Amino acid sequence: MIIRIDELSDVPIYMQIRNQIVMGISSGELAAGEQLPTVRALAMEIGINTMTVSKAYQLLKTEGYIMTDRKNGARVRTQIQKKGSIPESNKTELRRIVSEARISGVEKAEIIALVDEYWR
Amino acid sequence: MSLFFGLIMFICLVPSTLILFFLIYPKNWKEKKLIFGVKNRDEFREGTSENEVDAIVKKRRSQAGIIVICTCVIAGLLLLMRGMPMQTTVWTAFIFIALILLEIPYILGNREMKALKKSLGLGRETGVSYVDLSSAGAVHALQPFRVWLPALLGLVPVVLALLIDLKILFPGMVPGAGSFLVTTTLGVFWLVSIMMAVFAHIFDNMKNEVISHDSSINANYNRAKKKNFADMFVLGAWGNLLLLAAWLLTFILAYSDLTIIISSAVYILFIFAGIASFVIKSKKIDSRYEKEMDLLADDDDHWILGLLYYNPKDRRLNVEKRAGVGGTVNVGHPAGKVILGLSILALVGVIMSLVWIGMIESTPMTIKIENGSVICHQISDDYVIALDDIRSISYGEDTDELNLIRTHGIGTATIQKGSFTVNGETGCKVFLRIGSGNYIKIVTDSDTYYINASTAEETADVYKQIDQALRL
Repeated sequence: MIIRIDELSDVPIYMQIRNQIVMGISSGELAAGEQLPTVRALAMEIGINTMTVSKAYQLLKTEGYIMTDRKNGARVRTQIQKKGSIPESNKTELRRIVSEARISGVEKAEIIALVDEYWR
Repeated sequence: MSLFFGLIMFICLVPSTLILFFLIYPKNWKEKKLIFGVKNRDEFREGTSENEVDAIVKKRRSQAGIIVICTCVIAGLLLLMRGMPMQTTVWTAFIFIALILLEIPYILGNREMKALKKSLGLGRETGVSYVDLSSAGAVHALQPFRVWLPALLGLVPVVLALLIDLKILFPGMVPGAGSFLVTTTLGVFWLVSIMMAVFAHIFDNMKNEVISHDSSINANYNRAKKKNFADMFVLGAWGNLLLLAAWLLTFILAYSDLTIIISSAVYILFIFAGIASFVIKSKKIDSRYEKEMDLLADDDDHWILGLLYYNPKDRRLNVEKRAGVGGTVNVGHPAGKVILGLSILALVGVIMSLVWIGMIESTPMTIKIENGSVICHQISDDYVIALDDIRSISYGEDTDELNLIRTHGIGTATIQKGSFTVNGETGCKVFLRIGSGNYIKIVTDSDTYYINASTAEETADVYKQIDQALRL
């Protein structure tokens, strides 16, 4: 799976890593149980501090997407807890995106088609 | 001697310029991932842009071609030059100038490509990088023992040379033993082997390039490139080991400048053959994967003149070069700044040494008797020998009868100054202009001196004066 890092983006780099790994898990590009690079290796490849990658992995672990241990490094969880609900923070974010799209004249059907595409 | 030196310089320079020319001025720019250090994009192959890029590439390539032809012709003419010190200065200056000149069309091409990119309104993607999670930190091609084995075996000739110099091994059988010159030279080249092993690891751990959305293509591409680097360093380490062994044998069996030069020439040819093989393989790998390259990060703006990578936000020290093959340092990294500073210092050091050698060569060597001492003077007073300390003096007709092995000091083809092993006697103080003919040997309570002046007449005259002074 390829991740794209934009160091000039407003989104912090650790969050960019976290978001793209979550999208990778959702799309199936990252399979359950798949090994992720070590913190050091990923930091070296991107050219950033190991603490940044560590922060992203820590967040993913806390959210239940990955598991880490000293021996095997980081892996995608085989069983990701299905909460069945959208967190409030994501609802707010979705609302913002829908509002912006509405203001700029995007049709509702277009948004739904986009959601369908991402869902697949 | 000067012909050999010229030939070594020639075989260093001419293939280097040709390799550099074919690497940084490719004919088929459409198939390359970079054009003068600027990322090749689909937009460059459309409409009028294609003609513009064509014109830039043709213009700069033909300029570089003229520089290469001139370099080869001048290098050929320099082979006719005689006189070692002047040859060293001229060749070194010429190599620097030729290599810098060859980069100029590339730099101009880089500026033109950046301007074209801007005029086409192509978005900058500075700060964007891609990482393949499947291959991050997982692609390696170096088997450490393959490079460390020759590097560590290289210590054997160094230790043997040290034992010979300490006269523990073959005592009294090796002329020149005790000067530690061979041990020092072998030690330096052994350190080169160690550096090769370290660099092999650095290149094996270099950031993997993301050229495609397909992870298997990225992994194969990076593995092929890293294997090529690993093979080159392994070959270099074995070549170094062979050189160390050859020099040790030369030291034991037949030490002479000629055998050293011949073995050095063979070594340089070997290294160039290795580099040529590396370059050919690199080009093959790139052309094999050219069609698969659908993803390349655009960090053109971090490349100053398309040559120097400057990105303080990037924590990587070594990155892949844009001009030529191999790696370069990120000069925005603190260690990169130190390396750049040291490289500039080394360059200044080489220029200063050339100026120093030029001054030494052009300043006459004089010997005079003043205030009860024999003074050997060139730029400054090299030796002051009190007449009262002199036990004996003798006169030699020709400096060619002296077998001089330098321990430290200056040793050009015409000037030998410093501490030398002379005819097997170690620790002698030498102040000689070779070719001026005669010389004086002075033995004091503590040292033996071999001295002469710039002219045979002056040397003979001083010899008479010392002889008379000692008789009084």
